[in-house]
Amino acid sequence: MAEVHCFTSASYAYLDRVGVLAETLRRRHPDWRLWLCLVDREPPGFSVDLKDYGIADVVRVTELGIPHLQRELFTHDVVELCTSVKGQMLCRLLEGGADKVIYLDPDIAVFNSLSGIECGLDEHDVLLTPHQLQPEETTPAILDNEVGSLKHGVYNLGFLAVASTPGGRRFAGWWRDRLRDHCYDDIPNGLFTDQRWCDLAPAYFDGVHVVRDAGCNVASWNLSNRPISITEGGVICAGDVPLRFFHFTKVSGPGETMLERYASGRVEVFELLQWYRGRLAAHKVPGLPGGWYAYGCYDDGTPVPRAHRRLYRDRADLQERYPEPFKAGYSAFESA
Amino acid sequence: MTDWTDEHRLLSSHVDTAYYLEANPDVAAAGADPVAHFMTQGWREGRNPNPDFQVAYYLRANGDVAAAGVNPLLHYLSAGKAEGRQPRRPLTEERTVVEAASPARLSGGWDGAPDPEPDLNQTTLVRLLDRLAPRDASLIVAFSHDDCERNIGGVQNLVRAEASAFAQLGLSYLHVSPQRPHSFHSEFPADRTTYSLRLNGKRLGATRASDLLAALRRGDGGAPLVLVVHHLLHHSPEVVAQFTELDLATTIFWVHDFLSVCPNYVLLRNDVSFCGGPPEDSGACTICAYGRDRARSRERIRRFFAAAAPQILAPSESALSVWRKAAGLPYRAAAVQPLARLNLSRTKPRETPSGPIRVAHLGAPAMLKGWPTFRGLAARFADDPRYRFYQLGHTSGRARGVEYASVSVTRETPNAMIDAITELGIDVIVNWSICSETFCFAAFESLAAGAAIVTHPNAGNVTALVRENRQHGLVVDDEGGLHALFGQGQLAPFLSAGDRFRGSLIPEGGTATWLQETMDGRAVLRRLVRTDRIEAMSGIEVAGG
Repeated sequence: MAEVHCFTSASYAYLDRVGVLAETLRRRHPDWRLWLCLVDREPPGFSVDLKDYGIADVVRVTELGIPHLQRELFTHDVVELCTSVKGQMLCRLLEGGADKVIYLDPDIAVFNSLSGIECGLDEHDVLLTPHQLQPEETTPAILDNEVGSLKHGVYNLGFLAVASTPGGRRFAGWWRDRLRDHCYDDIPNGLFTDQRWCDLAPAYFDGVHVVRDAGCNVASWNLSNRPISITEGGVICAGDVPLRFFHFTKVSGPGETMLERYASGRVEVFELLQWYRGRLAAHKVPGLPGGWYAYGCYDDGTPVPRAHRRLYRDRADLQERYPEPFKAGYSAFESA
Repeated sequence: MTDWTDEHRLLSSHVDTAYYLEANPDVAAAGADPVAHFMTQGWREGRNPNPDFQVAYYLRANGDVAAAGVNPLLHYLSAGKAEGRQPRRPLTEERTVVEAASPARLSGGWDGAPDPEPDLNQTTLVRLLDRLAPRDASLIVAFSHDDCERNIGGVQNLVRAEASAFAQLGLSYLHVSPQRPHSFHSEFPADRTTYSLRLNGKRLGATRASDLLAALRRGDGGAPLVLVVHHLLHHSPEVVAQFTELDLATTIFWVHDFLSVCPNYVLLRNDVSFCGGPPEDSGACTICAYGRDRARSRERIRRFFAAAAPQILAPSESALSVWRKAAGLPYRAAAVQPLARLNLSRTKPRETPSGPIRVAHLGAPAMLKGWPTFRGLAARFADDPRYRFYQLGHTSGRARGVEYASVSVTRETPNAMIDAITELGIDVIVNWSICSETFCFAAFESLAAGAAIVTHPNAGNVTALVRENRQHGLVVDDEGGLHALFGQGQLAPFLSAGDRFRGSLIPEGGTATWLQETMDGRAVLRRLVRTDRIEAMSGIEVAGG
């Protein structure tokens, strides 16, 4: 059987989530290899053994061979940067000899076998999971979920599976190139990080397949049609099928409100949430300063405002004049 | 000024003044107008205007409202409601239970301290037992989780009844309980485990498990023992298993609850939903607060059963059915032995209610016992002249539309609940237990008082009891069915249609009754007691005696 390589992409602040993803994935697929693309740098005096978090291999953002690295680190915020590297990382694994590559967001937890996904890559080059699999029926759900997908992309890129076939590699190369230059949260201009690009994929590439298993990538945006329940035999289900993986998006804030809105009066989804929070606590990263993100601040510790990132992105003259944008002090971009 | 007056007018129909003053005694003490208080400062202090609107939740879930700094109730009434925003945390009671679910809470807690030093050493114990329970007479050795003379409950009552029944057979009854509680199961070996002992109800003292084992090795000519395990909570299964190596006529294991299936002995996943004890590696156990403890507990329980291969006694068919399906443990045979018997007078049926139908919840206002369902029902029909709602128990749930009556069942007043149901003229008990009851005394008390029971299909022996006694109650599918039953007025014709009789609840003798009244039991009993004595005590002819 072909070797399956999984990867995720995260900063240190999400390492607890990575830990939960790794532990749940290992339980179902102990033979799959999980990589972390680490989009961060350690705080001074901080050290952690990523093997404790179930990570087999780590690739740092600085090791991806990204041209104009400082510029890229500066022009993207943390979400944009963590998503923009996914194409590069995918290509790296395929070029490294992986037969099948599966990307999973760090805030995903696996509850049942993903063998169907693995087998799907024997038939198709690329597998995508749509945010929704069936039309919504109420106005709030249409606005939240369907209009949400029109804004953010039809497919949720918390999951992506690609086979090392010619078609799979063509897709990966195209996606990597687009993300390199156009991976921003800029909905008015038709972009939402890596996601909206994949709206184009089924038209561009023959081998793209839409996964219609309602147990995959369950989250607040499709919960209205896939209520979580638990069978007498203890199987966690989404709608009528076993829950394969749940995407715990923003569960510390607005995500919980959205789960509440679409819980269908069932408590099981909150049992999942409580369990997830417990596992996050178990994987808490000791010694990591709250809100840490190495590329979130200038060298003097001042947070980089979004407006600075956008200005620098859009002005080639500034990029030329300040090639090291994180530098602080006299004649630095921060004080310009 | 007009704005203030308009706001006050609008809010006055949404601020429940009685609720507000009860929840905020400082406001009541100050003699403040509750509506004005909520308007001007109450909401800023997170005080709720009524039980159905949660200020803190609304502000947390709606960041735009919090940022705007407006009164959240006013926002909800003027815009939020139409926008589909929730006035209170959805499923808040269930979620609060899930969030609090914890093995430490359920197990009763253990402070990590070693068991205390015993006051009986082996020599003293042997001397005491030789004097009080001579070796040539059989002895019943019964394990349970606490001192039955100091605590009250179903198991404790049974142990006392059982001791008394064995006394009538001329058999001594040694009750063994852990001297201190442990987290589910004790980790200590026999020589560091301290048991509290009672012989025929009288306290003997505390001893090490290893000393008790030695004292119970009776040698040649000694009469066999009967080992009865009522509960393994707080016990080390490995230590109790060592007692199965003694000279035993039989080992009895009681299924009072499902501790042998899961540390959550009522099989409530995350304390909120009956799970039936699915496979330990199931998704349900993965996300359950008890899942991790279960894996370890089951390993130890399996070893105990492998050593004991016991006779199983369950207090009801439903308990035995759940246990058989979920336990997967080796046993010799299984039987049902009820803890009490209902004795109804068939002479004069209870009268049909003439005024409003009186509907009650019995016992604690706990989710386990279906209190949220009852409270929701009472809230919905509080103003309906067809019904009056009551709660009978020792702790008030303080719910809108529910009259509380303090009732405590004690050893001195075992019929207190039956008497209270009768005195208050309660017609219907809503028994909405969310676990599968093994033997629900409250259900039997309801019937003994001539009240009808309304329950759901998964309430264990409550459901079975109602199905066996059709004129005594109704089984409705779910809460929707319950509300329909009340809304459509179907209770009144049901209560008029069938006769319900009053009576009493007669305790049974547990293991002693089983030994006397079943063929398997009598086969064991013949090894313990002279046949003529069995016949004299039970009135049952012993086959082949």
